[in-house]
Order: sequence, then C-alpha cells, then structure tokens
Amino acid sequence: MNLSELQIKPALRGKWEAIDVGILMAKRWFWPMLVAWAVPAMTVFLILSAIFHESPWIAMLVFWWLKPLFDRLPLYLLSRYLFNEPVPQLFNARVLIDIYRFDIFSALTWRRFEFRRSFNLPITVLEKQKGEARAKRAALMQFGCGNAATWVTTVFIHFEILLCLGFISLVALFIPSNTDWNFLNTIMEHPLIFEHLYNLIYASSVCIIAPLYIASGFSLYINRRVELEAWDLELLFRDSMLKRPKNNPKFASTNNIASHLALICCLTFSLISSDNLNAAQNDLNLTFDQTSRAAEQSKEQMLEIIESPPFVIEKEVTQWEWKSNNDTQESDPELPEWLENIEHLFELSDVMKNISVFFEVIIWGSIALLLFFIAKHILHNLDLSATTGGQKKGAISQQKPSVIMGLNIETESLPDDIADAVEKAVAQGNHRHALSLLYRFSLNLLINRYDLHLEDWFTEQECANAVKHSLEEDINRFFSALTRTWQLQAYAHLSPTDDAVLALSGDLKKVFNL
Amino acid sequence: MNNATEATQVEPLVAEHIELLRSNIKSILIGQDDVVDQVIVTLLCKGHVLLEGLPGLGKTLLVKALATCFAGQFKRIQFTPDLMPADMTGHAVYDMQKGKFNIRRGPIFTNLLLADEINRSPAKTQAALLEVMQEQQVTIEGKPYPLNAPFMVLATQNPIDQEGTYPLPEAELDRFLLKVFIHYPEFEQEKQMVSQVTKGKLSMTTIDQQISQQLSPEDIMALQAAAEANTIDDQVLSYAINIVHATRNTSTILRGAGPRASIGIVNAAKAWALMNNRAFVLPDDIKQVALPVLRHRVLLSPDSEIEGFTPDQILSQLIQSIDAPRV
Repeated sequence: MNLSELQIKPALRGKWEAIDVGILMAKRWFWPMLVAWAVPAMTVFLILSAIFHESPWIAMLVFWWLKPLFDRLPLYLLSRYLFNEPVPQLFNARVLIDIYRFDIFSALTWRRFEFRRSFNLPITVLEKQKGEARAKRAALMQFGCGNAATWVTTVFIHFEILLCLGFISLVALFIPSNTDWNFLNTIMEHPLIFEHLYNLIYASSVCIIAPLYIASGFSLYINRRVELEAWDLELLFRDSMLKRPKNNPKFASTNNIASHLALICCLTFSLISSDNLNAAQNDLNLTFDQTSRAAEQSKEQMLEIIESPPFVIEKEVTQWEWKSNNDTQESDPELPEWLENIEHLFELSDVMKNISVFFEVIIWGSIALLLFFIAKHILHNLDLSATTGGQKKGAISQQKPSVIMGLNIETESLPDDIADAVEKAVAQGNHRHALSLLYRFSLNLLINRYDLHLEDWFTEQECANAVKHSLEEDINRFFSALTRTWQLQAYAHLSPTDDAVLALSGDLKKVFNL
Repeated sequence: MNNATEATQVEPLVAEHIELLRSNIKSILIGQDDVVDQVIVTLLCKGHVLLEGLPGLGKTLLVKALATCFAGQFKRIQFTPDLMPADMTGHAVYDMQKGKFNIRRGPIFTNLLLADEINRSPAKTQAALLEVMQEQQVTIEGKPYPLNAPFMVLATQNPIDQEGTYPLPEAELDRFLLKVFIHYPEFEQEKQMVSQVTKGKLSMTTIDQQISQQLSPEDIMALQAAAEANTIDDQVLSYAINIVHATRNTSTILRGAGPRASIGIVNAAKAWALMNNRAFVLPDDIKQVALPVLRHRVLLSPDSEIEGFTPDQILSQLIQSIDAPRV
C-alpha cells in the first residue's frame, strides 16, 4: 500500500460524502469490478440452476447466501486500483483460493446477516483479520460511521429489488398488444420457467448493483482509515520532505564545515573547564539543596500542566459501547469461573451487534406497518360512517330487512288471513291500504320463503328487477303487475278498480300456493 | 299533494315525437344510447349539457343530428385561449354611410350551440356564456337581445389533455343541467358504425337523408311543456331534496350541491319519466338522473381525493344511504 499513489485526495470527509466518493470510484472502475463479480457469481448461479432445476428457489437461496464471497474479488481489485498497484494474474488459482477461502466459515454463517458487510469486508479481505482481532478492529473502525454503513446495505438492498421489479415491468411494457396470449398461457402452465427467469433477472440486478455497494462500503472504510491514521498529514509531510533541497551539493558542503567547527568548539570548552573542576565541586555542594527544591517545584508544575488540556481530553459519548476486556479484568481480577465463561460469549459481540441491528430494523418496520394499518382502518371506518350517517347501508347486508323503503314487512305486522284483510279494505274503499297489504305481504314471502336478497334502500322497480332476475316467471309476472299497480296508486294517485285489487289478491294465493 | 287522478301515460303525439327524436339520433350516433337519452332529457328540460369525452366520439355529430331533427339552427364555437366574449355574442359595428351603429350578431344566436373544448378559453370568455345560459338573452351595448327558443348549449371538454386549460368556474358549472360522460362504443356497435361510415351511408353531409321525419321548434317546445306538466308526488319531491341535502352533510364532500341541483334533479326526472311514457315521476327516475345532475356540482374533500374516489363513487354510495320514499 503506497499512500503516495492514492488515486483520491486523502482529505477527511463526512460519511455521506465518503459514500459519494465510493460511487465515483465504482463508476471509474465499474467494468472490471462488474466482471470480477459477475463471472464467478453467474457461473455459480448457472450451476446451481442446473442442479436445482426442479426447485429454483433453492438455487436462488444458495446464490443469495454466497453473495458475501462474490464481493471479495471486486474489492480486492478496487483496492489495487485505488493505490495504483499492479493487478496480479487473477487466473492464478492460488491467489483466488486465498481470497475466497480466508475466514469463509464465519462469513457464511454468523456474519452472513451482517448489516455493515461492505464496510467490514476490507478488514477481512485486505487486512486479513479474523476472530477476536477482526472484531476489535471492526469495532474501532465502525465508531462514528457504523450507521452509515448500515444504511448503505439497506439502501442497496432496495435498489436491487427496484431494479429487478423495474426490469420485469420494462419487459411487461414491451409485450406487444397483439401478442398471442394462447402462447403465454402455454408458458403459464410451466411456472418453473417463470421462476428461473425471475432468478436470472434478480441475479443480473445484483450484478449491476454489487460494484456500487462494494465501493461505497470501501470508501467509508478508507475515509475512516484517513481519520485514524492521518493519511492526509502523512502525505503532507512526505510532500514537504520531497520539497526539501537535500541533494543540493552547495548546501551539503556548508553543513559539513559547520558540523566540524561545532565539534572543535566543544572539545576546547571541555579542556578549559577541567582546570576549574575542584573549585566548582565546593560550590556545587552549597547549591544542591536549592536545586532540589527547584526541581520539586518544576515537577509539580509539570504534573499540573499534564493533567490539564490539551494533554487530558474529556469526551462525551452518547451511545452504548462495550467495555474492553482489559478494563473488565482490571476492575474484577478474580471473576468466578462461570462468569468467565459468559464473558467469553461476549467475544461474539460483533455477531450480536449485527443480529440486534437486524431485529431492530424488523421491529421498527413492524411497528410502522401496524400503525399504518390501524390508522387506515380507523380512517376507513370514520369515512364510511360519515358517508352513510352511521349505518352501513351501502354495504350489502346479510340480514334480512324488516323494513324496505319505509314499509314494514315483518310477519307480525301483517294479518294472518291476507285475502280477508284485502277484501275488507276494498269493501271500505281503501284501495291504498289493500294494495299496501298485498305489496308488503309479497315482499315478506319473497324474503322469507324464497330468500330473495333485497336491500332496505331498494325502490319498487329495483325490487321488481331483483325478482325478475332470481325467481320463476309466474312470480315475476305477478309481482310486476302488483308493482305497477302499487306505483300508480302511490305516486300517480290513481286507484285501481275493486276487481283489479281482488284479482291481484287471488293471484297472490295462486302464485305463492297459500 | 299534486293532482290526484291525472292520466298516467303521456299523450300519444308526445310519445311519438319523443320516440322519433330518439330513434333518429340513435340511428346517426351509434353506440351512445345513454348519452343520446341524457341529451334529450336536457333538451326537454330547457337545460344545457356538459359533455366530457375523448376526441372522436361523435360529440359534433350528436349536436348536428339533434339540430337536424327539429330543423333548428346549429352553430359551433371552437374555444381557444384568444377567443373574446364579443366573438361569441356579437358586437356593434359603425356604418359610415348611415352614420349609425349596427349590431352584428355572433354565433351564439342559434338553437343549438356546440361550445367545443370550452375549457380552452379563459374565465372571461367562459363567463360570457353565463347570461346566455341562464336568461337566454345576450346584452350588446347595453341592450338585451333574446334568443330564439329552443336554445341549448352543448359544451365539451377533454378529460385527459389538461395542459393549457382553464377549469370551468363553479358558477358556470352550475348552469349545466347534466354532465355526461361519453365512452367508447361497444365492439359490435363500433363495427356497425365503421361499416356505415366506410360505405358512405353515414357522414356529416348526409345527416339530412338519415332523418326520417323532422320536428319543428314548436314541437320541441310542446315536448318541453309536456315534461314540465308531469306530476311529482310530494314524497318523491322530498326524496330528491334529501339527496341534494345529503351532499351538504357528509364529510366526504367538501362542498355540496346548491338549490339549482334540486331543481335540476326534479326537472330531469320529469323529463325522464316523459321519455318512459309516464306522466308521473317515480323514485327510480330521481335515482336515474341524480348522478349526471350532481357529479359536477360537488367538490370532494381532500381525503376522498387522496383515497382516489370519484364523485360518481361517492354520490352512488350517498344515494344508497337515503331511504326511498314510501307512502
């Protein structure tokens, strides 16, 4: 790693700015990274699809599970490009095996669901760290930019899905309107083809997104390294060193002469001072006490300075941090054995962090969804009750209505002998009442005996239409005649003759077998 | 309560004229039976209609056919952004020889006026129609000029192309008795239409030959009087008013319909009853005309808009929530 050859300006950037730089890096070296990702990945994908031909979902699952491995080679390439280093022969099996095999087990098991994968990947692939050392290193690196690394993964997962759906939609849009749908129906009988096609589209989407994802995480990582190791300052000093005119022969001879003169002066001074050595010894004993007191004072002043800023830096931390093992050991040197065992479990802190972040996202997502559905349900109910005045009349009710359009059609409200009641009403000249009895009685029979579905807001014509579409012809004919007569009476105020009402009463008996 | 024992069927001549009108227009405008019925309802009510539909669905043909059916005058105004009110109504021109102003009457002086793409003109031009539609007269240089009866405005607007349009103001919308949607014809009907047009049997120039018998403007006015004379029971009247009132008392509608809507529903229901050979109005007639009368007179609440409801959906639900009248 030669910092002087770094292809980006090693300035300290904000985390989002660093991700932007990552995208630019991906754009610059997109094709080599794409090939480095796609060739092994698609090869594996095709092999898996062939093996699990009958169960494409298994092929997809395995392919998805292996994604962290496919990320390694593009990252390795990107690191070489970034430091302008020659790319070794990639077809060298030893190099490839070394890249893919290192720490493979943990990468595909408990670190598979790592939400900061692209950020932590350089620690594994480039720094060759694993186990506890990797965990410590990752914890150190993630401070201050871990959330951004999580967001990188979250956002790019969505990009993958969107690209996949977008591609499917694009294909659907390009299907000509005069397509032979029978051909498509034939294909539909073999859903496996669709599953394989979907897998292929998804794999292609992942191929396109992967270089951007890897470069974003790597850029965040590099930014953190710049911050921790002050690469910017180092390069500044290197530049300054390079600018120094050390190779100039004129200045070099002057330096040599000056150093020789200084050496001669020192030797001469030491010879002169040895003559007065004895006299000085006496004076020294006298001043020793004064000197030791002055030294004590100086020491106190130095301690005071050391304990105050800028030598002591107090910082406020607003998030939870794991205590380091060293601190724990110092504070509790004699831990019981069972507690030590538990402590060992915390060495998997990295795993736990990732799992906790994963579940945190799921829980917050679930809460948001729940709130959304509750709000929608409440709004829907409010809307419906406001529209219908608190009664869901618009909805098709399952209960049989007892009142239709204001007419009471309950059995209790009707006479037992309908023919007799109608005759009496006709004899009294109350044709409206007679027709009302006939109409209500008919509706009662239609609903209770024939289970005719009528709503309480139906008009007479709508009731007649319902009968027409649901019941036999003779009932329909009778009910249409009754409806017509009733409408004339009710809305045109045209009373029928006595005979017409009595004929309807007779037809009622006949049609309904009373 | 209205007259109790009037005849329940309309006079044979009235029924015959209505059938003639209907069949003549339907023979020319194929596949738009509902639209034809609603336009005739508007004519019988002395109202105006707003037609909404895509170009090429026969709006101009409809108006011309209607005009031909009763030997009336037909004029068309293409509304454009630079159309001025005087271009429609007419204006005073100074005659230098006689030394006085002459009134040059605009295209609005006709029986049937097709206001094509009415929302292409700004509000000032649209407002020039207000007086004509409501009072059936035009004021030029301070002097009112009455229009010949029957007079009817058929305005069209395109539902999709909204770029560079001026939505009609509420006062203008309220002047239209019905808002009618014109949809694509069914397959068989379109087939029949294409066959007739390509054989030369159906075209704008041969409409006169398609009409079996022409009515006179006086016949139309007699039909209008017959529709007006139809009876309506008090409870059916209340039912119509209840529907309009319900539009003002629901949270799904921000601004309900006004009294002109109640008048419109009753008038349209009377005309619809007449077209069904009845001299009295049923609740079904009210239900039938309620949607086209109300759909352009209500403003949905923002919540309903966001939910994606249309005025027709909300109004249909609302109409179902109101008890039909019973004696």
